[in-house]
Amino acid sequence: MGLVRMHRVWTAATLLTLAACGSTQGSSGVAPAKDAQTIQDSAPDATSNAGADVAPDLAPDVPDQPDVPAVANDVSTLPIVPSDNGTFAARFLRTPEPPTPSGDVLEMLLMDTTGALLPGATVKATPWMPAMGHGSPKTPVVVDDGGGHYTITNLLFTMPGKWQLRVDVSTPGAQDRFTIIYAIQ
Amino acid sequence: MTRISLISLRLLVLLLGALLGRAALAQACCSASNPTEFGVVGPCQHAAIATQIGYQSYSGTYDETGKNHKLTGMSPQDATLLIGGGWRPLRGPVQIQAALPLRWQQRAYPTMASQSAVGVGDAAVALRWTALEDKMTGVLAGEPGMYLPFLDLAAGVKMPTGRATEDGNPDKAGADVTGDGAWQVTATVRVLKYVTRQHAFGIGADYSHQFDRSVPDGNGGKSKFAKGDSLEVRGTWLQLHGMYWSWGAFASYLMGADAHQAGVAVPDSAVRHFRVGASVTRVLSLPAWETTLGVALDPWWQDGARNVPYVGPSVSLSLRRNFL
Repeated sequence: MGLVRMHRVWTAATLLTLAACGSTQGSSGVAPAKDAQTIQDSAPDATSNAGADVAPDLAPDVPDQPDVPAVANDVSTLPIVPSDNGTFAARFLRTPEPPTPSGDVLEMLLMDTTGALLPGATVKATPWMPAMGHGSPKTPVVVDDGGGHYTITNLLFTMPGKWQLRVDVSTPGAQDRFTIIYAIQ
Repeated sequence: MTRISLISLRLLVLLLGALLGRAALAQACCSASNPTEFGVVGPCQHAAIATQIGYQSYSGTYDETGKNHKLTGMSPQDATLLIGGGWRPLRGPVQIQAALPLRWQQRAYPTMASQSAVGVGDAAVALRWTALEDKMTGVLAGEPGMYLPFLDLAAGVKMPTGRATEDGNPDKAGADVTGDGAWQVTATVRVLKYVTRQHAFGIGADYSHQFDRSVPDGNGGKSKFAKGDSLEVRGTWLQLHGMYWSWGAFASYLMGADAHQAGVAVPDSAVRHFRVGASVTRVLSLPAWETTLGVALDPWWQDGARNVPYVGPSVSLSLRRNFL
């Protein structure tokens, strides 16, 4: 099951367009920033953390985040998450949910800010435990499945606690990071 | 026994100049000693060598909000063989202590074969000064100086002799990570007062500072990381029962500040950890040999700790050789 939540508000009309459409394609333009609250109120995947410096959190136990309906095994229907600096957007499907220390799979449907899918990007995933200052002994494997779909495997979180999965994306002329929270128990 | 003594002396020499990072409590002189400490030389003793085997099975974890979670995705367990001791080079109030852990760790995850590894942990050395000595007569003895407690001041260093996370073998899934990868210094103050000849109460505090270590910064470079400074306060109770038995209990609370990376505080990384324990000591051969059985418990209630990855009960058994 993919129970997905999101902490960061999509900052402009990209979110409005993409969330309203529920589509990965065909969005256009950038709405004024003042529309963000409207977007947040109307979009099921937006949260009240407007402007908060919080990474996207796919964990189910964040009390102030509403659960977001998710469709199992179909990443294209899941909420859109902006990258840390808003350069890219993506839908994530994490299995299983809640996450486990090993064997998890993260699917990513990568888009640009217009909602166009981004195949062929260079994607690197790095687990990191901020409070402890260390990563994982295993290096995640990223497979480009084509069509903007990427699958990240070989994940290992060696200790209970709050981890980040840093998904670095680079395309010609652009790079950014998705920081996804894993609460490991 | 002679062979063991020789081995003990050799180890003591090897560990010379060192000091036990964890603060130690003044012990009863030539009698059953405080069971909650390891490798502390008693007031009338010249040296001590000790070994301790400990086991801990972890059942829970505390997140950064203080919420306790039962471990569901892994079943870790540790065993530690601790070797160390102390020595008074001038037979005076100053002693040198050292401890070296040898760790066995097992990590089991649902989708992986269980992994285990053995390795040396972080060694600790310390210098300890007993500034005041309790006469151990109790406060009702009517003797001069009967109110003076034991006062111990210590400074210690923990060295990164264990394997740090970034040096771990990918196939070991973290089981081979036996150290912090950073130097740490600790300052300690301990006060222990025998209110009667049999009962003593103590309080103490350890202040620790971890130095920076280089960690990946996530952008292909390195940055400096250090856990936050921490203060651990501890209360102890000790009861002597004749010359051969003693038992006691302790409660400790550790407060750690936020960690820092690249000079910036890491949000939600502060640590809190409450812990209690009890132990009983039996003198096997007065005054040379004694053994201690100890148990310790982590909290299980909400807000009993924060940012503590593993919590669970532990048990330890130590054997100690005193030299007069």
